[in-house]
This record gives sequence, structure tokens and C-alpha cells, in this order.
Amino acid sequence: MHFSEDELRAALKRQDPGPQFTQRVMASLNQAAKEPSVQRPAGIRPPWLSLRRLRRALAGVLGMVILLAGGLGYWQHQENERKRQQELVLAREAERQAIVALRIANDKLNRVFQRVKDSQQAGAKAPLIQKERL
Amino acid sequence: MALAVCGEETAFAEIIREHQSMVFSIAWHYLGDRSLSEDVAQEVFLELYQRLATIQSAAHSTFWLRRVAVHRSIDQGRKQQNRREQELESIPEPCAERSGSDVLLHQRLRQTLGALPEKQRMVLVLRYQEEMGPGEIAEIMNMPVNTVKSTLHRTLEEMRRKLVRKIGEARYAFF
Repeated sequence: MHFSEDELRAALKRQDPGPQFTQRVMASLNQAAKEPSVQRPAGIRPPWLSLRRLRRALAGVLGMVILLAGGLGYWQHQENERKRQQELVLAREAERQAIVALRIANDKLNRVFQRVKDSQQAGAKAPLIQKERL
Repeated sequence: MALAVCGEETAFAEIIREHQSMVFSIAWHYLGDRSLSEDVAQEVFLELYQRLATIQSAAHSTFWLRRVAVHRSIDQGRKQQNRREQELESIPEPCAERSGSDVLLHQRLRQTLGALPEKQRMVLVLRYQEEMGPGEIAEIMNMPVNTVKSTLHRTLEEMRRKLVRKIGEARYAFF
């Protein structure tokens, strides 16, 4: 079967989609304007879930965590340092008191030693006196 | 066009009325399915509305609409590829002109067109529905001009061969 190009043109003549087509398009346009989510292309996240916002939020949370951890570390270091200083003061005081106690003990020992020595010397002299009296 | 860009709804409705038959027919002759073609046409106009600010003139809007209608129809056709032939056979045509023309021949021409590969089909639709030259078709379909010319020539030959084969089969079936 043969056909001319004009017959092909006639077969492919433009057709009208119908009288209500324009109204349908305008209605769907109005509906799309009322519902912003409809205009969003499929597969794209809602604005509050966009990747950029998520990244920013994550960076913010990460920054806060780092700041908190840093603050906590610094506070703990300060606390340790304070305790160490306190212990050092206590240790020095204890050392001083120990030295005083040792000195006192030394004095007392010296006195005891002196008395023992004195009494020994006195014991040694007594028989001579008795001999002299006799 | 300027009024439509400013958000004037009646102006945009006028643009739709002016181009609806072109956009719908590109989809209809390519897909062969009325409701699908209406959906494609609607989608194309919605896209135009969103991009009105980038359209510079009436000629630009015609070019843009043709180009988008062609590509949306091809996309839709790929999705519906497995169902195309049966639908072409069964669905009645919209507003088809039946007086003073060979209705049977036109129907067979459209059926044969529907069985062609996608690029050949679209090249033929643009050439004989839109009366576009090979250069314009090449620009819209991103093809070299010589490829368009050879595709047109080859497709017409193929359609003639297929039509002869179809008539032969019909005769055998009838007698």
C-alpha cells in the first residue's frame, strides 16, 4: 500500500485535548500553589530535612559537644590542681609539726641523759665522802 | 507573555489554549494513549508556569513547549513501552476528523507509526504534525541534521513496507 506525505500529514493532524483541558491545568496550578509540597520535585526531602540543614545542625551539635567536653576537662584539671595544692599545704604543715615533735623529743632525751649522767657521777662520789667521814 | 510572567492567570490560560493542541498532539501521536497524553501535556504546562520567568518571547515559548513535550513524551513512552501496541489498537481517537479522508488509511498509518522505534516515531511526528524542517528537528532532539534526514527517509520506507505486510496479512485473514 502506498501513501503520500499529505496523507501522513492528515493522519498526524493536530488534535484538541478537549474543552476542559485549560480549566484542568489551571485547577491543578491553583492546587499546586495552595500546597507548596506538591511543587517540590519527587525524591527531594522536605526543607526541614534537607541535607544542608542536617549538616549544619550536626555541626552545631558536634561543636556544642566539643565545647562541653573541653569545659568539663578544664574544670576537672582545675579541681585536681586545687586538691594537690591543698594536700601540699597539709603535707608541709605535717612536716613542720613532725620536726617540732622531734626537737621536743630530742630535748627531753638530752635532759634524761643529763640526769642519768649526773646521778652516775653523784653515785661515784658518795663512797669517797663516806670514807672521808670515817 | 509579559502578563503571564507577572502572574496574570487569564494570560497564562490564553497561552495554554494557544498551544494545547500542539503539546497534546505531540504526546498523543507518540504515545497513542489519550489520558497519558493529557497527563503529559498538563505536566508540560505546569513546568512552563514554573519557568515563565526564563521565557523571553512567544517564539521561545513555542520552541520550549515543543522541546519539553517531545522529551516528556519519550520518557513516558519508555515507561509504557510494554503496553503501547495493545492500547493503540483498542482506544478510540479524540475528536478525529472523519469526513473527506481515508479513515482506514489514517488509522493504519497511526498504528504503524506506533510500532516504530522511539526516535523514528518522534522524528515523523515533528516532521508531519508540526511541519518542522530537519534542522529544527535536529535541534529539538539533539541529533545531527544528516541523521534526521536519513532517519526520515528510512522511516518512510519502513512504514511503506510494514503497511504492505499488514494489508497482506489482513487479506489472508479475510479470505
